[in-house]
Amino acid sequence: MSYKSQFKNYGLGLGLRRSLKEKTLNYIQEKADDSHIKWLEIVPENHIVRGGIHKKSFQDVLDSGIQLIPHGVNLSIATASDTAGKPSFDRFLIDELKELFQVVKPPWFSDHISCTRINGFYLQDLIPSPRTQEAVDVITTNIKFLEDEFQLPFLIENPSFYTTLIEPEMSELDFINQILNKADCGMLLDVNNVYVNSINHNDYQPADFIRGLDLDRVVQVHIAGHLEDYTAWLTGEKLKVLDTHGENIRKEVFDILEDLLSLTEIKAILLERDSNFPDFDGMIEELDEIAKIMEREKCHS
Amino acid sequence: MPQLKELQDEILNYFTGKEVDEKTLNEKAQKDLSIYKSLVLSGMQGLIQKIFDKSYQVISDQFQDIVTDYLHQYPSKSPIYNELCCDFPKFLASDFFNEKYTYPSYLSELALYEYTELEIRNYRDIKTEKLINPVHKILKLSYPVSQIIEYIKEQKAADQLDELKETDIEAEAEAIVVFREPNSFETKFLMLSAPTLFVLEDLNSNNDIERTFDNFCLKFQIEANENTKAQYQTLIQQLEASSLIIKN
Repeated sequence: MSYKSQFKNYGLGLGLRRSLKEKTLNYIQEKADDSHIKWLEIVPENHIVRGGIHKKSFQDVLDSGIQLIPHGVNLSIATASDTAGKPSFDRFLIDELKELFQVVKPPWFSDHISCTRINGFYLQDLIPSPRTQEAVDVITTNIKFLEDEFQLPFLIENPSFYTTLIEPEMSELDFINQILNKADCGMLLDVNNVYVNSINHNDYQPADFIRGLDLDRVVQVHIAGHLEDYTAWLTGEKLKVLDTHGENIRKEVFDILEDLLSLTEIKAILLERDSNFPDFDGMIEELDEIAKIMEREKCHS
Repeated sequence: MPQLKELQDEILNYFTGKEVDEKTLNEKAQKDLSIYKSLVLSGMQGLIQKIFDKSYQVISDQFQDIVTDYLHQYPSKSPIYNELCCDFPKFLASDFFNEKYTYPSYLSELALYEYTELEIRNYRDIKTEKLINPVHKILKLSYPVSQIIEYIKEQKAADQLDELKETDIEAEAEAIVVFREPNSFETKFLMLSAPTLFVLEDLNSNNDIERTFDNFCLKFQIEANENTKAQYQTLIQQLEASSLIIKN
């Protein structure tokens, strides 16, 4: 049996963002079966330890009956434990997420191949993992621990990265495939991150990268926009492309999605927009574009 | 090749402004990491500016340095993004801050009030048998923060924010309760007189209106008669009307 045959097809979704919540729910209700938004992605850390108006607002979303799928930012699967061979985790976060997941009942959960917590301190960004054999083992141990704790399949996301930290022992592709294979987990492929990394590091062509992946494990996709020519204000370091989720999707990124969908079936595709929001119609236009690609590729397959 | 744990320890050192072992995390990697640190600090600046809107008006001239120092002194231990600001009032009250920066001495209490508003707004819902609204926090301050907030608003309206840094406000004890209205979830505050403060604290510990009346009379050396009882009942009714006392 293939890995992803265990999941049903969720189609196209959108990230649940507070400022867009009302419009999103109204759109879903008005359009009903014609809605482009079949599910919503949540950042689970934004919905724990909260009462009052936040809890009520989240309850409105739950009451709408739409499927929610959590995508974490702080599970920090690349963090090394103090004791070699043991998982690294934050018990508080895990217990809170378990409580949330009991309500949300997600088909899977995901987080990035990155380190956000070191010695109990949260860095507030997705620090990449060095691409070493030791890191593969650490990440595998952490994923197995999380799947055991939550009793849910876990998907790793390929992050955009702006440093390798140390000389890599393997390519990005080998690194990801080794984790998928050793941890026996799924993948959330961010096609914008494939583009961003291909431009910043000039290591591969996106088409080669996606063909090299173990595509049976690619369950979910993120598609987003990026910013060109970024300069870090702290030191003046420059980047060709910054992954922002705050711009419209470029044609090159739509093309990667189309290429991917010609190769494999994807169970859930998300338009990821976190900031600099266009009006809601602008979001719908991008969803419409993705839906057209999905339709074209469904016809081809 | 460094072990992953050693490497990550040095990444934390880099982020928190500590000395970094360059054999483990070389200069190139540190330069690359400055992209992440710039993004983290930009995010923190936006969040702190939003949460501590009034305090920001006072410290805006050195805001970037202050936020960087805050990250270095108080890295977040919470996976919840908003909570990365939870130690900001403590940082503004620290010797480190006060030795490096010169700002009015009310600043940390102003920030504490602002963070408390956020804390109460987000506070987890609590089911309780207590009479006192469980989502409340009493702040006993040395400065008249409620007046300071009005003063900052006036200065902003008059486009005279530059004067804020230079103008200290005389200390004057003030007790405030910040609480969440249980139906509308609106965050409110009340300034507390000494008797009201006593009633709230005593009721919170013994949960008995009659017993608190006896304690109140003892505390303020008042004779327990019909007149004082009526005044006490009026106070209880006022606290009920403002949703600080919730009778189920």
